[in-house]
Amino acid sequence: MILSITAFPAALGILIGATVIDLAIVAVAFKDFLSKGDAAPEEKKEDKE
Amino acid sequence: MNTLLIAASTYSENTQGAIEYLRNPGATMQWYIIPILLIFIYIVSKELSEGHTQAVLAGAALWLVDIWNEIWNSYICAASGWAPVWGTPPGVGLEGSESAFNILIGYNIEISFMFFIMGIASCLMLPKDKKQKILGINNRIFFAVIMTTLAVCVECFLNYAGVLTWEWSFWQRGCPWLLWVIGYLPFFAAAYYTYDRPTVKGSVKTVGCLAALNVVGLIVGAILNWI
Repeated sequence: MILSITAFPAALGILIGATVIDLAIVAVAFKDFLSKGDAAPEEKKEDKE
Repeated sequence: MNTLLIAASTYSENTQGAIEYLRNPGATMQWYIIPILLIFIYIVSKELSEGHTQAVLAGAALWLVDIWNEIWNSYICAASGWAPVWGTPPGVGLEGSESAFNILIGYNIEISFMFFIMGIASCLMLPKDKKQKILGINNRIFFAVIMTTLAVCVECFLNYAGVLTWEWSFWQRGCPWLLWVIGYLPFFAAAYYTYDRPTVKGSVKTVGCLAALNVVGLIVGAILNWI
């Protein structure tokens, strides 16, 4: 049986919250590539840390 | 007996099957997982020995974002009393569980190894120049879109085969959009972001943040008895 999550407010709330966090991860990760001028993040440094 | 069984009377048939084998290694453990563990160790060791530290950290990032999704998937199962968004039931046509160890309601040990390795592999295939464009699109975004789409296709096949259950109307083969957007795109986004940090220290910090998110999620889940 396939159900609609709108019938389960608590589960719907969790799904919305999780979606916001997942989308925030995508936004943070790609913000430099999506911003004006397609500026890339800083160049990788050759470190020996 | 797993604590989730306390409220299992209203759970779907698939969910009840998954709960039966949840964190029950005495009923599920199989020898094949040991060679897989060694293969995983070999891959990580080899990449580290070749200086691909940030690729390994990117694998950890992808793995941790998946765990985050698995945690809230468990929450939805418990909060709804019906089903997780995705579940790993015992399987089809065989007795017992098809997984060696079911860690969470939609997450097993095979998935765990698979995602870590996928994170490493998906970074090793990236162009060195993060600014390079493919078909007019930044290559990081391009690869994230391609890898996400391929992963969703594999998930659809697993669902078709019955080893991955979807019991909510918004998460179906005919409606895979949310699966694409939050099921996989954040995985590759996090992996590529971690891989592209200017320093190893920066990559470690990113992985640390994701780990902290999961620790909070696990603690809250444990307190509420939702995982």
